[in-house]
Amino acid sequence: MFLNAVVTFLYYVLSAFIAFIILRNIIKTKSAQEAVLYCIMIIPFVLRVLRLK
Amino acid sequence: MKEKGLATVKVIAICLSVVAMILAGAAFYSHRTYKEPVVASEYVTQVKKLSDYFPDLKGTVNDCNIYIFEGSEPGGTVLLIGGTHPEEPGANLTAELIVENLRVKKGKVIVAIRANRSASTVTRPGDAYPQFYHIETPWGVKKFRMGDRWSNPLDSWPDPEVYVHYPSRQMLAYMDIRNFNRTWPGRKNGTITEKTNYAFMQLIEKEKVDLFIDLHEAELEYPVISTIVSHQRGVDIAAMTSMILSSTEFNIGMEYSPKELHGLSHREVGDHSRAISLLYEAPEPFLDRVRGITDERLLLTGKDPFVMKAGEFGLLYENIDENGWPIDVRVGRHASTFLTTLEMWSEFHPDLPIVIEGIPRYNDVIANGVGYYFKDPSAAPENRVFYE
Repeated sequence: MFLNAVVTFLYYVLSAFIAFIILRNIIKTKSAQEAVLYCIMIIPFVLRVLRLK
Repeated sequence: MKEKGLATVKVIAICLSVVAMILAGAAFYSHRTYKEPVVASEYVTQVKKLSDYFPDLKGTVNDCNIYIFEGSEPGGTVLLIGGTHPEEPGANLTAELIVENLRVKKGKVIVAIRANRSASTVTRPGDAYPQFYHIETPWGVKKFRMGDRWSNPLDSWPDPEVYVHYPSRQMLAYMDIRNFNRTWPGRKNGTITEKTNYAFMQLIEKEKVDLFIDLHEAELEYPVISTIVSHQRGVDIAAMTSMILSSTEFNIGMEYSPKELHGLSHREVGDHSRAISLLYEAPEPFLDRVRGITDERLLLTGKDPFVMKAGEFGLLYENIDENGWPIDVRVGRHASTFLTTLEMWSEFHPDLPIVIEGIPRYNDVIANGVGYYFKDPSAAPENRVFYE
């Protein structure tokens, strides 16, 4: 069970990291289409980090 | 695209994304935290928490209410649980109907409406499951959480590559480590689902439960349907119940619990406690993979042309016609099966009778609708209103 807790914690860290990378890409991209796509992609990661889904 | 135009698109996209996050987040949060009011019958003796039997569960999502009804005369003890799989509403609705209307004359009846509460706080958006369903009552509409088959991943994560059942060490599907009916008899230091099973085993031990009943619903494509699955120690009661109901009210079969299939209540509760374990299955077309539009209407009416078409091709294990399998029929089946089981129990165990009243039978539930039997929480004394 301790290992489960560690994996769960790392999972949330990973989700937050990916959300951060997507946010960074939204800011950096020069393509409007990519920006919209990133905005859709970020939703599940934020909901996951906030423990809503 | 020019710099300014790109910036505008990004700002609009981010704003829309945030709005979507808020809307989705609010929907998930309101479902996860919604409390269903229950008006316990005036004859309820006490309402405990599951953590009273296993303190590790205190404060967790699965610390459900345990409703205890004691008769004025001694007798046997039955434990009935609903909500093992919260995507099977006939189970928790029947358990709640019993809690709100029961009067015990002899023996003791213990009921859990939401045995695995965690699984009732999540649905399957990818399968278009509704988050809630609504039942008409004489005083208004009563709202219930729709759930899933498995505990919420927010409460139990990660799943293993292969789930090794405790204590049999049988290998099962990975996600079934969150399936409350694959984790019996539970484990003291396991996942929250296993701990919940363990807590119920403690309850069975401490309350000296003689008879254990687990309510379910099943898809029509599944062979274990419209039946009572019985541990080998309960086959006499299950067989008599099946025969009497089939000749008087509706067809229901009886099956032996497989000895080599582990984790299920009808196997493990009987093997690891003094209680005889039974499991009831009623038909629920909503669960069929060939179903059409998946919505609250299908959940409550059980009417689906695609499932009917599958029936025409002989692909189902239960009949279905244009009348479907309404929730009143499914709850009525469970209510009558429970009543007949107790009658048979009392005949086979005259020294440990369980005699109850106040619970409607199959025809009553169909005639009046299940909502007729739910009490208005706003008009009930505060000390009888509990939340699931």
